Amino acid sequence: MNDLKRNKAARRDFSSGGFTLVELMVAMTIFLVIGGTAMSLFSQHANLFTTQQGEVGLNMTLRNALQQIQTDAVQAGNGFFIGGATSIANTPVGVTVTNNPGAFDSLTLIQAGTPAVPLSGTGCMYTTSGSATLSAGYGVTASQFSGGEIMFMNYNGNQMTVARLTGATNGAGGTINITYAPTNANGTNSTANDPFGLTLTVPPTSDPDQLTDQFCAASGDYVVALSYVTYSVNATNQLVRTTAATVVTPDIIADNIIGFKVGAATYQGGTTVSSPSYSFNASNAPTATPPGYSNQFTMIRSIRVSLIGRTPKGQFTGSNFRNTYDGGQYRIQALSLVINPRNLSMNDLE
Amino acid sequence: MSRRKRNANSGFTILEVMVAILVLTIGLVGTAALMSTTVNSTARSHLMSTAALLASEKLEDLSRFNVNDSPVAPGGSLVANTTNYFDNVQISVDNGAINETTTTNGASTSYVQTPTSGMVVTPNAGLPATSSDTLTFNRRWIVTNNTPTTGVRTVTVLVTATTQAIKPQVTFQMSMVRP
Repeated sequence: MNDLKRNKAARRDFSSGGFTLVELMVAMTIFLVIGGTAMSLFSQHANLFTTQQGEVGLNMTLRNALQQIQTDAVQAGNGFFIGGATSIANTPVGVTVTNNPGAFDSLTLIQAGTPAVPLSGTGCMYTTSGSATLSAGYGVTASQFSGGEIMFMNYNGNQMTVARLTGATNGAGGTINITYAPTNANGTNSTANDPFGLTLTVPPTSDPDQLTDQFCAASGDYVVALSYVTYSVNATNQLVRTTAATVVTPDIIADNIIGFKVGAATYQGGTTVSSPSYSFNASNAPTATPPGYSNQFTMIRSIRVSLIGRTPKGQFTGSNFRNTYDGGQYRIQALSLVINPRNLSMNDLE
Repeated sequence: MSRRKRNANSGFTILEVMVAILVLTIGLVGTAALMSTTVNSTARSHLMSTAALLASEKLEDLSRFNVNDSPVAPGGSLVANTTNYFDNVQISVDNGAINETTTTNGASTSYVQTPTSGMVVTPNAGLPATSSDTLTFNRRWIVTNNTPTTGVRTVTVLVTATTQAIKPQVTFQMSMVRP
């Protein structure tokens, strides 16, 4: 009996000296199972976090881009309210849109870069000549005609053409001599000499006599330098903002843009003829399917800009997510915004 | 004294183990609930910011119309879809499509913008089928004459995220006053 007790005590002493192999293995197994579960939960959550970061970043990118476009778009048509018979609603100074068949459109926002400066002299001149002289006394110097596009307009604002400016020098007595790429005899241009597309439709269906090449100093016809901002998407999917000063290296507004469409709502004059919806086919006729507005940019009153962006490539290599667009491992977001450039409608409500 | 010592050496009682498990469970369930709340509130804020953008987009769209144009004639409802005073928007986060229908003069027009094919406008068509990752929104608006004062009208837009997964439903309402 005493021996047995001693033996038992000895065994207990021995067993409390450490774990058996079985105990250790069971403990390790339990630890591995619990630890593995915890790790997988953590890695899932870490992935979710990365996805969220990417999406929030993309959302901010798209919002910032739309904000920048809005800031420029509300300025469209600024500085060109001459007064009298001429109103901005009769001129294409405002918004022009190029709708392409694919995912990317381009949007140009135009405003006056100088006051209207009357032609100098007494007779008439032709824009087929490639040069003109502007009157003195309007507070404008040759340096303000530094590049880009100029618009010729007759005194009552119903006939115009545009030309690509090539040079300007200060002439005698404060006049300004300008040179430009000559227009065609009817006031039309090649695309190269009218990058804004202001004379695209020949002749405009709503106003067949709108384009001309003849302007007369005697009747007070004038010239305005145009300044512009163009939004487009380049070959590396960047939304870029181009101005006369940044033609060579445009500002990059957003990366990873895979859709940029610009629709326009138009107003045909009168009181009840605003288009009910936005047209994404600028060159289509109003009767076509889907309807357009024959590039009559003077009729644009409101634009709808839609952007589709994606998160940076390769950000989700750890996940199984594939989008159905091109199978890429990135997330996609879309945002759109309606902008009413107020200058364009200031003459409508009568 | 010696009895307690022996008990301590022989292991935990079932009561102790169960109390420990209970405490652990409460803690774990709390953490899990917190995680799901975080995910839920992130989704909510995403829907809310998109709804706000859609509401201001519609208001800006309605402000472009001439006072005599039919789209801003008094009418509409915030509680039911009224022809000419509601539309539906679907935004896909999968293939990047924005699908939109508008109802004008009783006919719906669908606008589908995708990265592959640009913008496809289909007159007299409804919205395409949704997938599980599509965010769907319903926009209703109401135009009230001579409110808040004679000579002006008030336009109120209500955007409802009809995505069912998020409860309660995300809504966003916004108003403007125009001539």
